[in-house]
Amino acid sequence: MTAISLPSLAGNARDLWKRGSASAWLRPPMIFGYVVLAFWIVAAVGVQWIAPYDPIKQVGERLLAPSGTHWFGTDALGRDVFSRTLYGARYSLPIAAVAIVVSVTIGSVLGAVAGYFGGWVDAVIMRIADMTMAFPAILLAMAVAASLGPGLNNALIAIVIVWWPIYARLMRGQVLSIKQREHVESAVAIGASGPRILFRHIVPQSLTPILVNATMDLGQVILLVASLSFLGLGALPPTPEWGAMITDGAKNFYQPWIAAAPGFAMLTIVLAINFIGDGLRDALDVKATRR
Amino acid sequence: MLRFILKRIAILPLLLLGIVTIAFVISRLLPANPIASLVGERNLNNPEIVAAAKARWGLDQDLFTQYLNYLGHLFQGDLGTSFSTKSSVTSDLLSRLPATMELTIVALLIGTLGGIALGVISASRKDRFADHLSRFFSLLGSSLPVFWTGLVFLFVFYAQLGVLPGPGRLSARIEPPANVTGFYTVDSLLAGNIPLFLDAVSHLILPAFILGWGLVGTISRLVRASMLDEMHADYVRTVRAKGLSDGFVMRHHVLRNSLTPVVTIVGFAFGALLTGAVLVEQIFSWNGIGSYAVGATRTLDYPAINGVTLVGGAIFLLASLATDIVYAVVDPRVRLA
Repeated sequence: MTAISLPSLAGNARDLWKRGSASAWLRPPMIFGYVVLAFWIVAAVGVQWIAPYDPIKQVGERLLAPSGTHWFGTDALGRDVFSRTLYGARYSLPIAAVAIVVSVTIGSVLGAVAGYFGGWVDAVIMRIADMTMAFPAILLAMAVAASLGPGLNNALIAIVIVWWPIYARLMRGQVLSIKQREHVESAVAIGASGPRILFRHIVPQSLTPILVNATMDLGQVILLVASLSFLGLGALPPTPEWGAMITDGAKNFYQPWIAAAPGFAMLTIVLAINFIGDGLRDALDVKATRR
Repeated sequence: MLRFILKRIAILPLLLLGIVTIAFVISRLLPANPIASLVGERNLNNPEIVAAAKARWGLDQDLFTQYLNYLGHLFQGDLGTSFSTKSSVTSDLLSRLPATMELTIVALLIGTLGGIALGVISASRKDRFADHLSRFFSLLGSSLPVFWTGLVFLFVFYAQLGVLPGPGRLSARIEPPANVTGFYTVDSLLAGNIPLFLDAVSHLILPAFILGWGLVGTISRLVRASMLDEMHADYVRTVRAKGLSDGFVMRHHVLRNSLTPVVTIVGFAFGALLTGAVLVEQIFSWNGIGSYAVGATRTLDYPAINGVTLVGGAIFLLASLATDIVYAVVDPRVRLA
């Protein structure tokens, strides 16, 4: 079993499409995921043409219940909740995506270096990774965000600091196993340099599980961005960020429409990403290596 | 066996030193100005007051001296004095820790039992309706922002239906039980006060369920996958051939062997639950270390932030250690490897 499934773990991005039949990529939950994700990407890009009102300005009475003019009602400052929710897609998705890309890059490079060179380099990098992972994610992110000061950019930095060790650990494990393969041995034999072997012959073979995990993590990072904003450490008023909007909603507990829309928006997008990630994992047969 | 455990315990101080250092570096290396929160914005222009405050809180020394001082105090169990409550961080945390632990432990129970139950349903009805439903419920748990779910559930079950109490650990005007463990449920039983116990339990239901729900997905996925693996093992065919019923084989052979991997993630689960607890405590006005942490970050209360991060990290390390030990007890291959 191991002998068969191990090679199937390796592969570069082009091979992803070859493996698994098309139907494995198009199962109903995944299609739901693609559609919802596409909706939010379109919303994020074209929101200025879609949203009926300005998200920052007062456009109606305060705390209006949902109606024909304000589909999801208005908040405590008379802003249109529907428009604000649509604009929220401009923050959560891009920030989470950037945080993941940066974490994957930093983590993969450090993990690859640690796994390939071993010795004290490995020890230092992996001990720092282990230590960082020992903290509950949000406590560490809160400490960083608090020290840097509130703001979405600082929240992003905080999330990268929390998240890179996951990929470092994953990549290190991959590199350790691929290092033993014959094609690496031949590369060494013909005299290729260390970095060349690592980044041309090993890392490209290790990407599949990293990409699948990154997809699954995207949803969690969207939630983490919103959590930091909810705690007042991310987006600042009047930014229409979903977590911050839910804080507004919590302050107006008996006007449930204020928090309902941003929360539901977040639920749909995270659920969509989880469906896609789940499907990817099944289609590519990646064993879950979570922390 | 004993050697394995001793080895794990021996490296614990090193790990703790590591998290202390990281917590310290993060709280000091960054640009935010704690002086402002100490003396107030207005006094920032008065160099005498600023200098006095710096000297009072040891902020006038260089970073390395501050670090050594911090370590020295830590050895005596002193996490420093909170900038904002002006009392010892250690005692602040100790008084709040039981609230968080009570919530987290109940959530862990709900998450584990719920996860195992759903995992079993999924595995034994693979690819049927019950499987899809339980997988959806699990996925939903890990897709919901807990602070939003908390609001929604409070609105529905407290404000609309009135079947469950609102935020807080006890109803208004109810005195907490005499402090023994700090767990209201345990202390009220020790005091023999059943109405108080029921009140504490009813306040626990919503936050613990919401917190545990996120864990259900992780555990049910694990149980499902490992049961499906086990079902094809040779010994299962053998006991089937002996004529045992499907249900009996599932319960007594497959399930039992599938639970070992669950043990391995309890440490991880504890860390994840602490993360969720910070948010859930905020919504449910739960007076634990999560809401303490939120207050501390808002006022840039370094000693308090440091203390919370440290305690969070330490809890996680201890949970991982316990996990490793239990795993070694359950599965001899681990300690022999």
